[in-house]
Amino acid sequence: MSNIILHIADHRVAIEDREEGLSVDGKLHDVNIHKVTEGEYSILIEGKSYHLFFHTWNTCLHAVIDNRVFEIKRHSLRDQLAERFLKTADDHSKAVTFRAPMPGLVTKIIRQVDLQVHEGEGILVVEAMKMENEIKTSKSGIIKKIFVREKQAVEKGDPLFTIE
Amino acid sequence: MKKIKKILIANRGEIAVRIQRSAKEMGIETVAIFSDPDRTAPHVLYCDQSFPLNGVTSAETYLDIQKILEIAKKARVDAIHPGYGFLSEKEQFASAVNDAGLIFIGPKPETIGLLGSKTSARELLAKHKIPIVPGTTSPIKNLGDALKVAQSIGFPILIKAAGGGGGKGMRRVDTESDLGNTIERARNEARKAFGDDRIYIEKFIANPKHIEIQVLADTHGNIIHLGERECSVQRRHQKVVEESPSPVMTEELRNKMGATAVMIAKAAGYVNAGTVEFLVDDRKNFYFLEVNTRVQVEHPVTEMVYGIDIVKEQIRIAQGEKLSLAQNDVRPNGHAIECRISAEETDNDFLPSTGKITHFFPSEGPGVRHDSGARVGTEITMHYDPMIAKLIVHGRDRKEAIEKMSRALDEYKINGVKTTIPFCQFVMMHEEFINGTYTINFVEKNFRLSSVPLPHDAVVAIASSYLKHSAGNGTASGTNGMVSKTSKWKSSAFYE
Repeated sequence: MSNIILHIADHRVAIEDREEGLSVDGKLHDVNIHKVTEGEYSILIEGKSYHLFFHTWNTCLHAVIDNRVFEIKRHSLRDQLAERFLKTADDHSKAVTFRAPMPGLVTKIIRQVDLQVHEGEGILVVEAMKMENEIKTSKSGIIKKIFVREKQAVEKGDPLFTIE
Repeated sequence: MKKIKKILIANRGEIAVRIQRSAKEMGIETVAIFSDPDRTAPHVLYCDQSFPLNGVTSAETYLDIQKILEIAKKARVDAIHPGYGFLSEKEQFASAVNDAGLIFIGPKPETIGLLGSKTSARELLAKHKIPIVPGTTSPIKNLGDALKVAQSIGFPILIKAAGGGGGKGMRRVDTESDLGNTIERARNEARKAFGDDRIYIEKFIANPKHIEIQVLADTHGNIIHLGERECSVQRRHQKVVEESPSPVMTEELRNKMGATAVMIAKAAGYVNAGTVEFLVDDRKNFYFLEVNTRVQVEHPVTEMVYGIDIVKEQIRIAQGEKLSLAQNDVRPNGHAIECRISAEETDNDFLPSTGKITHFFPSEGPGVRHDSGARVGTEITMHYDPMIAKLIVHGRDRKEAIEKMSRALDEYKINGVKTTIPFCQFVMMHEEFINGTYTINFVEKNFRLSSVPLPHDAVVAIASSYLKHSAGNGTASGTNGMVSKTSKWKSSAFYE
């Protein structure tokens, strides 16, 4: 099996499953892994015990270890190229789409399309678990599009508005 | 004296389970109510009887007085326990329960009205010369009014809901230009949470501790207090970690605050369990904040330290019994800490985290108590409060309690939703918490989860199990880990 590049939170690691053991960034580790239930693993690394879980949030795989949650991204050459392409495309248009950071209900649209807005300004309000959350823009510019209307339910990750 | 034989618990989640436990121990039958998503929730499974409220939102279920009273009648209960939140501090609900010929396990309706409106409570306190935080004694009518008050007491100010607590409808305002917008936000939130959009203004005290006194009052005029709880670790004005005793408490201050709380209860004609909340500044001046006319979320820390079951006391008081204790019989023993386990993204401004719990291993062992309303399979939805459970520990002293809580938090494992556990672990390790000097600004001032690095071994553990996991799911060469476009918005769409 060839090298796999993983991004675990801010860590970039190269792993390889070799016959003599698991290589992480070129260093061999004595790792004993046991699947406990679906998505639950017990790992012994040189005897040190870890209990971890996998869960998919918003189509991204995450590892849960010591109750902290880390996104895992796997990089292939193709992915790296795709990422570079997306980045260039974004830089070119300079448009940023803001998405719902949580599921909820849009209770108010504060600013309308075509308005000039400044960084930190509230654009709309999403209510979740009885808290009203003003969604602000972290970019100054013109509101190009608002994807939602008042009283509309949104899922986490749904597009809310685009600033250009 | 009327012996209560059957109680309807007008609530859900951990508090419904908690109340059911005390009732059952007293030989009292219990009746649960449930919304559609709560059909198989633990409180439904544990109670002797359960009836549907037919609906999803709070408004059409746990807040619907008519539906609840119909069930009470059908189930032939003789009392209703409201828990906390929902209808617990609604005068109208307590009245309706009494009018239906049932016992409301809580204060008299008029007391709830008097203290529940924070403005009339402030008037009462002013009359008895009990120190209150400067601000309005009546709800503000319009922006002009608000501006006048804010200017006279000076920014920053706090906008608070007159009709309820729990941080809902509470907002800090630093400048005049933010006032209008913030009032609107607070009003909307208050209307949704309490069905009451009246708000008032208070001076924002810079570095206070939140310390509250638990009181018990029977129908025979006896009132005692069960010492204090410190609840200064808050995010969004909601408590996350609570403890008893407070690390800054002295015998003298406890007696003084306790006597003040008892005086307030007396002045209000209070009956049953209640909590008087104070802000305590760095010179140990205390200011009355509000009275919560119900059982508090954090009541277990008092129970652990004083060896008293507060819910049982509530039931005994409601059936007309005299308090079994005098003030002199009440003695603290050791130290207790509670951590609220809520479905929130600790690393993302405590945003609510929804999902289905897939794995759930709460802590166990000596000195650990776990009050929970969830289990594997429980779906945490956006409709209700994100609190899943409370983890409480009792130690011989504060040091042991902190050590025990750290151990218990490490042991606690949950998957399917993100929780406040990493935050609570951070608190237990933080110097300001350990030395007891923390204030209600603790989170804002100190909390950076990213400052806790991921150990290299953990990275190895994740990487190696990833291989096995992705192989098992047939995604070894698949797209599971493809670069997601979401990373873009994750860093940009954010929460105020």
